[in-house]
Amino acid sequence: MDPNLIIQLALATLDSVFQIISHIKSQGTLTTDEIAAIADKQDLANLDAIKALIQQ
Amino acid sequence: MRTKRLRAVALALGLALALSGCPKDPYRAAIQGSDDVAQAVSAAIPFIAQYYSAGKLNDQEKAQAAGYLQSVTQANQTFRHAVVAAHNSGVKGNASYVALAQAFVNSVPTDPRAFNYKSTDAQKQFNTVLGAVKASLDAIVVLIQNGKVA
Repeated sequence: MDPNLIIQLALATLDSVFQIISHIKSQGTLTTDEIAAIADKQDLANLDAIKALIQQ
Repeated sequence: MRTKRLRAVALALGLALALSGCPKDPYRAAIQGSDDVAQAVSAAIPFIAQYYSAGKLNDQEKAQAAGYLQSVTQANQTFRHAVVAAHNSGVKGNASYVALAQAFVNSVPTDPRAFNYKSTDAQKQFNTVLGAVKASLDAIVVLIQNGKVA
């Protein structure tokens, strides 16, 4: 496997884990409406990233 | 080693679902579940980009995986807006929110673990990361059913 890909995947994995840990913490302290607002923003960001991916 | 990393992602996603799985009411459970789906999609996107850049996914495979995430995300938006509308109209109790969640799950019936990739490496990777998205989607109904009515 390409060493660059291994590094990229390791970084992506770490990033994902940290994001999820942060996500867990935030869900416990936020109101439901605040969580809904965060999910709204995340979905929009996801759609933008997916569109870019499709056009890549 | 790669397997350990994949397990770490799957474990973290599982923890996210499990630790956020004690909501006070079905409305909060539904919104938390929706947020979990958005986070799982966000975590999966970089893997598609990196595998495609590395030549481990062809155009068709990339389009299939990206299309799945797009369908899930659009359905997630629809679900969350319906949940907020139900809450704002005074809906209480699990049944209505479970029905909305079930409609969400039914609207994206595809199991991404059934996708076939030419690369065995990609097959393992995407069974995990897209499987985590599918797991977060399927978990919403359970999250709501376990939620206590306020």
